[in-house]
Amino acid sequence: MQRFQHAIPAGLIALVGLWVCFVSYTQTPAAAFAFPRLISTVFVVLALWTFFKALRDGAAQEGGFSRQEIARILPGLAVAVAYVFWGAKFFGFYTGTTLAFFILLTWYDPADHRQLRSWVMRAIITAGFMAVMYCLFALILNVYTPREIWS
Amino acid sequence: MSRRTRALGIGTSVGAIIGLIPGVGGQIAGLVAYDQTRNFSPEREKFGTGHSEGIIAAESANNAMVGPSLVPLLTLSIPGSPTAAVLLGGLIIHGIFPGPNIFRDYPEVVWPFINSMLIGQILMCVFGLMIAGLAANVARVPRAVMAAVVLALAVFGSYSVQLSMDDVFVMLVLGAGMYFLERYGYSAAPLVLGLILGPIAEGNFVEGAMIAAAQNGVLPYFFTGTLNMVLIAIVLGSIIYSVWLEMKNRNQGRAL
Repeated sequence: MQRFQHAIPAGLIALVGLWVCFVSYTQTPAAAFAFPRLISTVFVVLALWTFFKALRDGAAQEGGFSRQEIARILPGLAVAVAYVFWGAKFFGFYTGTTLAFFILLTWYDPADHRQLRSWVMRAIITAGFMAVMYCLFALILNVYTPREIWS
Repeated sequence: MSRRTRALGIGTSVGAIIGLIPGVGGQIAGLVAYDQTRNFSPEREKFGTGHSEGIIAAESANNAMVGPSLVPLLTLSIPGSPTAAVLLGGLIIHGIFPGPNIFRDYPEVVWPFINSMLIGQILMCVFGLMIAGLAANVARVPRAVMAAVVLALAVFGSYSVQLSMDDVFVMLVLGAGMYFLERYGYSAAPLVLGLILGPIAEGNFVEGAMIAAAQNGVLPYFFTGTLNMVLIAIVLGSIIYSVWLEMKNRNQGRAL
């Protein structure tokens, strides 16, 4: 897995390129799709080059993620996905953001979770930040946000 | 020349050139300058860790593009940055439509406009030096707080542009995708450039192809003339340079 991890993004990009290329070459009239054809052909050549390079060089390439890093990032990403695709609409923007903010802060805060003081600090930071956000977006900029359970 | 001075030079030059391109913002200028400075730096591996060269290049490009972004704004009515878009709105509200004739028709507006930019740069330098120390404290904010703040601001910011959740979805997918891709060595600059310049390039290409079809044909139209040849030479030079750099890095890697 570690050896081929560079090939995964390169392969996905090559697949996207091939799909765009296929779509552009199967559409008519040809003159209207000249630009997408030109660009997607160059895109596919470069993407395939990158893909085969990733396969050839394997784990010798720079960058990438270790398992520990993936394990550290995934919970935060899961919270972000749940918040954006469900929480923000279901709870309303401000309640959803408050929950996501507090969960993220708690998850990544290195402070001892057994101490009451750390929970109070996180609650104060969350409340302070959300107060600033509410003043800025709701009171000053008058941005209408989804309210859902509060509507 | 010190490495920081070189980073400042690259950032300023790239920012000034990119500022002239219609519709390209400061983020692109910063990313391109950052990439170029990294290519020339002997400490490439330190980029992405808060290395001073990268910061100098990105920020100097971001500032340097502001002045030149007024060129497409004043001559073509095309804003080169969000600030220029606000200025365009202000001019239109006052009944002034920027274009090639604006220097002749409204000199009392244009020259104070340009002079105020110069004064603004000097004032920004003074205030920048005064508050730089204070602003540096942002770097001391714990990562847990920063992660939560960035996510909330990104969601609110992307939503408030058009009051659309679709924009928020796109922001999250592209943001998360690009976070992973950057770790594998992919740069965000070409992607953003493609998204912004793609429609402009396509429109002009189709227009050019139609003119070419009505004249001598596509090949003579696109591949003759001094300007065409210079631009093609720059593109080819850029590709050859990238391939050469790649081969050089590989050879150095083998030698180590």
